[in-house]
Amino acid sequence: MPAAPSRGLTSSNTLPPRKSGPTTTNLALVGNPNCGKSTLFNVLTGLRQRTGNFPGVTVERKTGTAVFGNHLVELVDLPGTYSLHPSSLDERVVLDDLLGFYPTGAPDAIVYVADANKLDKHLLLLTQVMDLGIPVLLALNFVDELQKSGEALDFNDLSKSLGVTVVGISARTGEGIKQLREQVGILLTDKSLPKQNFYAFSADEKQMSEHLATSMPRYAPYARLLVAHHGDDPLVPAGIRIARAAAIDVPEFDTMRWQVRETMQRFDRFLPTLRAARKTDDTETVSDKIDRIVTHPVAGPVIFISVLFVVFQAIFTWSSWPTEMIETLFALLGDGVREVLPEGYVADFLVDGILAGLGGIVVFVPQIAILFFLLTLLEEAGYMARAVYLFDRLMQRFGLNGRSLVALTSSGACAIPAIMSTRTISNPKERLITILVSPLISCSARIPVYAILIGFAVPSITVWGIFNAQALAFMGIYFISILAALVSALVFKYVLKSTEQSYLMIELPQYRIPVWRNVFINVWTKTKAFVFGAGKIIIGISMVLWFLASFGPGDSMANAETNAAKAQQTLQLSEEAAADYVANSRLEASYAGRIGKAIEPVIEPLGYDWKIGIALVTSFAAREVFVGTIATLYAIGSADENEALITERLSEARRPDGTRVYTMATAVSLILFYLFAMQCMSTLAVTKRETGTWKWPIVQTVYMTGLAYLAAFTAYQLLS
Amino acid sequence: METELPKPQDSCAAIEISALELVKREKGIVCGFADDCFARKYLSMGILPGSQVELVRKAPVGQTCYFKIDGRSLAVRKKEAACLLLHRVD
Repeated sequence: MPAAPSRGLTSSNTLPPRKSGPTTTNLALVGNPNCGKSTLFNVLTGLRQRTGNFPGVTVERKTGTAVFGNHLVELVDLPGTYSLHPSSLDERVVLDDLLGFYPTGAPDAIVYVADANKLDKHLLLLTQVMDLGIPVLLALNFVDELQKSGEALDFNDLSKSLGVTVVGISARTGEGIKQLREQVGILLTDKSLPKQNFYAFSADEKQMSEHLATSMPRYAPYARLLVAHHGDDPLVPAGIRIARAAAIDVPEFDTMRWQVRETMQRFDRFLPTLRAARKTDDTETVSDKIDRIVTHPVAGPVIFISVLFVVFQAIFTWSSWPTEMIETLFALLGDGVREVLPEGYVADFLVDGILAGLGGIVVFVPQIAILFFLLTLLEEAGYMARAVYLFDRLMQRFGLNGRSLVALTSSGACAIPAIMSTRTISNPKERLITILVSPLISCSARIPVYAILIGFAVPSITVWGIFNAQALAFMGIYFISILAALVSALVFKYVLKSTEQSYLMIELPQYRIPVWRNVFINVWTKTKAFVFGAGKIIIGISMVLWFLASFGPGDSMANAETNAAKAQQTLQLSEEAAADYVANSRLEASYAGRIGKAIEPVIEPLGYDWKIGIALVTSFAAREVFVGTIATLYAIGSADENEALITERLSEARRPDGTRVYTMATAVSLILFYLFAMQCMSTLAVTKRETGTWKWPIVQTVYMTGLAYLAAFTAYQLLS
Repeated sequence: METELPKPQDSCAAIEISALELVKREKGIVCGFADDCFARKYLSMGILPGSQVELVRKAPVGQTCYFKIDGRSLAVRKKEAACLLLHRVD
């Protein structure tokens, strides 16, 4: 049987051979959702794994290295799918990978993972995979549960009737993993192909497949048929695409009917080989009992909101001390560098440019890690699918999907992981809207900004006996941000066009105790991806900002410094205050200061002066920079970013006419601006990556910042 | 061995209903699909003519349905549920 071009053994291979071995063998893990595939992947690879993207699309590609027998293997964990006929981006990449349309080529062998308790459902995809002309091994997962329920399954029988090697495993307990490694090693050595074409083609299908034989000579007949169905994709080589377009231009070709008939025939063929097939068990399981409460129309939403509350509480309380430690550490590092290096631009660049940027990323690690930890726990336990079920209809009204809820929830910590989590949304329009509105949900970076400004907007008094007015204001801010996200989504729902129909069919998996290994590996790899992915951009921007704040046109900086030196002598300031005064004058003369002054006319109606203008400019990299910039601008001394001190200084700030800058009106206006404005380079970078074009990050910036301006303008004009 | 997918009109008896019309805790047996595209999706999840469908409950706003099909829990939207054609049981 002709095989698809292999990754490791043919000349078409584009992967350079690994140095440690003669060739790298590529192995793909394939299976239905909830078959325990990722748990097995984690068992086999441990921390030797990387996440990237499939080329051209944004579906996460998890790869890792593992040893099977005497083979060093590059293992790829393909997204879970029910069938090789795809209906979402996730499922599409499975087909493209197995057909070898990515530069990495087709896998040399496939380990098919199936839930031993659900063979009547999980074998459909296996029979499709077997027809691709690639060696396959069947790993039956959850055999420990099979034994518990007292069911017997004859692996030899199954192996004989299917024509593939069968190994029983439990990825959770580690049972059978050793045997699996041995058997995969044997498969990789003798490369035996599944014996038969499982699916019997109709005459029309046979003709279709033969039609494509000349353009796809090395592919199995079923692979050709799949291309006939789904070959209208830019990834498919042009020659094949042209041949396909000609081949399907016949009246007999009815892709949906053919797919339905194929699926039916496959079931008809394998179901009789399963003795216990199609048993219908009416007894109520533990999961059903939990669901009676968790998916209850009234109790369900209440539980969900409580869960969210606990998650946020945890993010804020657990992350406070590691965050402080990181801040202290970076301050110490900066001091150390300044002590070792002579004063000057090199030291300034290292401390204020690079270290400040690095600190700006690492400081988010505790929050992001805790968020991922808790979300993974909920996902692993099976809770997230229930939340999707409960809120799908509500989300749909706003042009979103039940799955958008996961993204919007994550946005409360950081929009970056949130946008990354939209990949499971199959409808492109719903996915895009989720990406566009996620950054409106107030993320953790806005908290320090709110913390300082609320002091000006709301007095710290007790209302209604028990509530602190400032805490209520905080809640109000979050409420407004959620409302803004939903209303914006609604607007996009009517503005954006969509041809694809939206659907939701989600399996509600059994509740399970999370596998700790999965949780920790997930937290580790996701956090690493954030630090290195977004980190590069944040450091770059941080260096640019440092340059803008440290240099000015011509000798304006030097002049400002001399003038300030003279002025501070007449003012008779203390040494520290004098240094701050000079720094302040320098900033005013710098490029950043000039930008601040240049935009002053635009932001004046919002109640801001040029100093706030600078803070807005620097905040464009990341919102939390506001606090640091304000501290520098109002000569508080960069070492001392103490909130109480900043508040005190800000209240003393005056306009040229002697009125206070920070009134209630300015503070409310600023809060609203930070609430809505797109001021996060990293989010824009992720949006670009996820949507594949700069169009959407630009749309995001324009609509969010426009909204921010409008809200801040209205608030200031009404309140002042 | 080859089986054509039963067309709703010829295999479903007169008491045919869509899964959307089930009341809570009512059961039905799948006899066909009203739409080819959703048929493919149901089939690939192993929901075939002959599968037993039970409506467990509906989500708060009454649109998303929680079914138990052949012992497996599945949430689908109203539109998808309407495509699942059933015989009533009992």
